[in-house]
Amino acid sequence: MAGGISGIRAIALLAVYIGISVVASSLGIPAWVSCIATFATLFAWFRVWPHLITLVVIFGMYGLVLGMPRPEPWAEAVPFVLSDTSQFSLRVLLYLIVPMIFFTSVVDPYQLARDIARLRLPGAGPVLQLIGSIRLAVFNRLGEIDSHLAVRGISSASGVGRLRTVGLWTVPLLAALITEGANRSAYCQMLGLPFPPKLIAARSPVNSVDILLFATAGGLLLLWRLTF
Amino acid sequence: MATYVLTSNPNTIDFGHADLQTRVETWLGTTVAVYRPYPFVEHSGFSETVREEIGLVLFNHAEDEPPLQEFDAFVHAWDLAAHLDRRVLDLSGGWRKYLGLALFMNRPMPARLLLDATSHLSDARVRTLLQRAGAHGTVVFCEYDPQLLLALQPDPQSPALPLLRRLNDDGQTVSEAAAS
Repeated sequence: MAGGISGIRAIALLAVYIGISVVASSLGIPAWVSCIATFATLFAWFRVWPHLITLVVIFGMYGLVLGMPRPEPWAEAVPFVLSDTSQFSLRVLLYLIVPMIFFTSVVDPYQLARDIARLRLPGAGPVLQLIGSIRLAVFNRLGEIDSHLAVRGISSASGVGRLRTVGLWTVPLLAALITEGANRSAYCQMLGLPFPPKLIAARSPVNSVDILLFATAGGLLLLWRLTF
Repeated sequence: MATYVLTSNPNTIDFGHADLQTRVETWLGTTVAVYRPYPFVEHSGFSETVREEIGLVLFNHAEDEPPLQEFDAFVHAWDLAAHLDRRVLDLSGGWRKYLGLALFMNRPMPARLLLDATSHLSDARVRTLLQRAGAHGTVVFCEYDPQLLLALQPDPQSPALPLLRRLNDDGQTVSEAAAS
């Protein structure tokens, strides 16, 4: 499948993650540990290597920033802060941002739109597709910006080069994305379409792997409910 | 039905297209649908392949504005069969623009104003566009360099190009050039 996995497969994997997380929490393993371990495994499995660093940055920065004012040494303060699930912002990080990064990095945005369209929620398919296609838009725009910089003798395509030229590409990237979002509506209207248009729902593949993943998630939740 | 090439101040395409539309509508005596390239946007973004893009657009036409051609006839008329299963993002810039132009031309409008429509297109695509353009209503091309369009040579292997009539825009009114 071009561009990533289906939305159904991603939801099945997230269900397995939830099952692992609740069972691990009952065994005394902090939620942030199971979150990092699960998504690090998923990012490695799908070869989305940069997001391994993203995980470290998200949890590391959160722990450091909130750990700084605490009286303990950082080495003790950071795990303490990360294990404190009573704080709403940490829950947002755990249950919203990291799965969202997973979704936008591995799910085929077009396939996700088809899956959502089958649910017949008005407008949900196009909106989610727009969110999902931001990844494509960012890559496309970065590629163009790299080309423009390259003809001026500035190398920004490599990882180090991108960090060095961050001030050169960040502003045009944001401007391009905002412009693209606004122009997409005008383009659709030019072709005579409503915005967002109705998507044509095609049957998405649900195969034995998806069923197995959902069964695993259900089994983990049953194990947690009946055992702990 | 006629095909016109409008000569105007090139800046009009970017900064005065709304007023130009009004002047063209006044001259033609009818409303015109305007095509113009949008920065960073060359397809709807809601479909993956060319087949899906065409299907999406045809499916979303308003009931009182049915497409001029349905899927098979459209694909055949605009020579898109070879690209149906390619991702739109994998097409060259010229083909992406051509796909959007073809879908725009499939709207049932009495008159169309095409701004900067032929840049990035190969001569073969421009010929196809010209041949299809005048089939349903009046078309006015406004290009940065109209001479390129006027000097386009016909291809002996394909049908003849339509007669291109010339219009002038002086910023106040549009009028037909004396030596068309």
